[in-house]
Amino acid sequence: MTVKLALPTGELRAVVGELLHQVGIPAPEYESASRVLRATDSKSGLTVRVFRERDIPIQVALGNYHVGICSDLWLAEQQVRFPLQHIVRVGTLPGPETEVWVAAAESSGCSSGELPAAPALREARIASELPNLADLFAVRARIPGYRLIPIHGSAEAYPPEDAELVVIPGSRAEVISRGLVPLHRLYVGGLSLIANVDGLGGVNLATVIDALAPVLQSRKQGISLPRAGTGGFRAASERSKDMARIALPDGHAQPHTFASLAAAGLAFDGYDERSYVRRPRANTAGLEVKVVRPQDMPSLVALGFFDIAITGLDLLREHQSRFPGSPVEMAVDLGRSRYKIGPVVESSFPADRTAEALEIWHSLGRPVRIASEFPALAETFARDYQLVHTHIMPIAGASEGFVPEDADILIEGTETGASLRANGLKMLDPFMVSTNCAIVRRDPITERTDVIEKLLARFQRAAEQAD
Amino acid sequence: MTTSEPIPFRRSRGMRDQLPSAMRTFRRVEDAFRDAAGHWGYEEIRTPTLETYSLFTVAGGLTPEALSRVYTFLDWDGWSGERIVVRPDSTIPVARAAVEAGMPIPARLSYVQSRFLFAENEDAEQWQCGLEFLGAPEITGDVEVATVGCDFLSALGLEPVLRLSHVGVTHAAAALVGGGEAPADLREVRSALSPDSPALAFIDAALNPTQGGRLARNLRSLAENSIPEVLPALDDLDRVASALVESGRRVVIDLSMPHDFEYYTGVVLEFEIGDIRVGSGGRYAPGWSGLTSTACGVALGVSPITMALGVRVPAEPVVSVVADTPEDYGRAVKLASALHRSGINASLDSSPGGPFAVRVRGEQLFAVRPEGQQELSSLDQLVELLIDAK
Repeated sequence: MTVKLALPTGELRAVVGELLHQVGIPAPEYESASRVLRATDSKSGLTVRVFRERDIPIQVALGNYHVGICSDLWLAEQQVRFPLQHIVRVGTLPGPETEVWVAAAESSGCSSGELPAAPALREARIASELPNLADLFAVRARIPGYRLIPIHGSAEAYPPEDAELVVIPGSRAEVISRGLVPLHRLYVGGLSLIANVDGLGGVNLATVIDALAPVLQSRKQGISLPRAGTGGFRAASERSKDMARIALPDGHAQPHTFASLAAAGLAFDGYDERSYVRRPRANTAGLEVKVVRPQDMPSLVALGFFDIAITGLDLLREHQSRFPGSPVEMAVDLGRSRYKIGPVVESSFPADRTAEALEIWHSLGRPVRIASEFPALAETFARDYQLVHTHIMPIAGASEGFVPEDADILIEGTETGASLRANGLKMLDPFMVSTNCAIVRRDPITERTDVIEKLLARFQRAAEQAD
Repeated sequence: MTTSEPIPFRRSRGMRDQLPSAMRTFRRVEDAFRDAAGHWGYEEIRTPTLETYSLFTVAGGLTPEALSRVYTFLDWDGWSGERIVVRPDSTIPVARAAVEAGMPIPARLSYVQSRFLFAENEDAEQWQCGLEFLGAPEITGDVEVATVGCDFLSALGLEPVLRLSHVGVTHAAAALVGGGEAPADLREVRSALSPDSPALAFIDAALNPTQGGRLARNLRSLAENSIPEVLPALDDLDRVASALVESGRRVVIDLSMPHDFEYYTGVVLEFEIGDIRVGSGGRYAPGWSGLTSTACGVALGVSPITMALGVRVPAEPVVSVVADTPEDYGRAVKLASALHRSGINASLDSSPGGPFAVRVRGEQLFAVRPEGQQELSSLDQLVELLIDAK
């Protein structure tokens, strides 16, 4: 039987590739420069599939892959919430160590390594890209009425004004370098070899396990829960209504945002091609600026942390599909970063239109598997096309490798279709076109609505230029 | 693979269907509980299936272990960051509801509702019959909720044993150990104590569950010199146990019982039928709800009680009413309704089935039984026949 191995993309690809090479595991085309997501070694029968790290424990737990290598952190994050999933940690491999810290802003008055007493953290907002670990911490610390803010990253941007605490990956030194005070080390771990429980019991995994056994280490890793804290905590003052707040995106969305801002005649010190800070300075009176992940913006505007944000229509629609009662809406379509979103299937799939594909999906005799970085849009798609029995699989990325082995449909975006074609995929009927856009809260928190209106007027002119 | 076969739907993992045979027993248990609670002045309350998650995470709320098994999700307003939980416990919501509604305290409240905690077997949803005596006076409340629970079980023909303990005893003993994770029960305290601890004699004696209500009083002298901090708890326990024994209840004092320190503050109790633990409860402090006084509550599980009952409640017989021709349907419906008014279950059928059927043909009625058919002269004759058959 073919052994299926899940491997990480991203920063770990080089480390893991070197490790596999050393122990003689054939992982064709897994070298760091390659963009190939799936390959099979014909001699050993080993199938290798490349995933975003956080998807690996899920895929191994589902039984789609027998074994996987990933940072142990993602296994811990999964197992905290789903302790019964069919997955086992086989051992620790040589590789980088990861820590997760509970941290606060310097202005909180907290001392390093000293957790505040629970009552001092009453109704604390905790931002984290590791919501399960953050929740475990908050429950164990017995923080009264805490509020979890799940985010996609850039947690250091949140304290003190948008969160009292963060649960953030990084070493103690890295946490300090981000301007935070490390209060409690919640987790430490390395690189793990993980296996599906049923696979471990029923499949000959010698190709992988025998080869890696000599390098397995006995490094201490795991979660360290806090004892009751004793320190004080100085919370930031409530958000001032005298200022309007705008969120700008970091990462891939920046180039289009720079273009939109330039077209609108807006410039922020510290937010351009040459410089990058979390809190750029606005030249407009009454306006505060912060840079966060675009994926988090609809929620942050809904929460009232920001009055306006530049994000993608895809992310707004995903948010609105998930939370139909959300007070966020699009104010201006900025018209850039345009791409189509729709159902993606393998290129040999015997239909080119969604309507034609329905009959095929309906007759599978099992649930239709839909993978997407937009799980709420995927659910809406399934509902709109009356796909009754579906398994929606939220994924973190490396999506082109899911179809056809691990999913029947991918709800995915494409600008030209070139990447899909390169991966042997095609899109059926797209159901939306996404662009970058300015989003606002229906009931703004700020009293400086004049600032918002002026910004939107400028964005409107920029949008007309983009058209 | 393509197929035209429909995909079979199955119940969600951890859930159980309550089929008619189970529901008959369920209703019997529920009726007995409502009667017992009602006699003691408890008024029924029902709280929503969905609550906010933060209601259960406060100190004194649900244990971290239980919180790791709740069903939680972001609902339509989930953008606010507030998560929703499918009711994992009823005590906390009942106290929340009473405070939110501004009910006068003391308040005696009862409920029959389910609570959801993930389990690998089919017991993720557990139906409970519960009492909450909010603002319950010392001793009075403890004795009362224990008694109502016993009355309820007795009404079902069950003879419960009440197992009693007191959080204060374990708490005071645990303080002798100090440092590290607090011991969960007296046995853990015993293991952690040094061999020369003067409290060992008291703890060794206390670890023996004893029938009757005297243990607490007898332990007093052992505790006086070695661990005097337990004396108030022992006195409290003694008063409750003595009252229950005197009222004819079967009591076992079992100080080895584990309990949740965060939740309970005084006497804790368990109801046992044979080897089956059917319920538990005790005195707690719902300070998180805004109530300053303590409360007493018990929750008894319908499933373990059903298991202890070990009998099936037979289905009520239903008479088949058969219209002989299409023109007879109206008369058949009228006849079924007339039977219902006489307290007899009847339904329409297309052919005689079961132990008793009535065929309607014009103005004629025929009783159809396995032994043969008999023409009836009137509805009264039919009712008489049915009562005899029943």
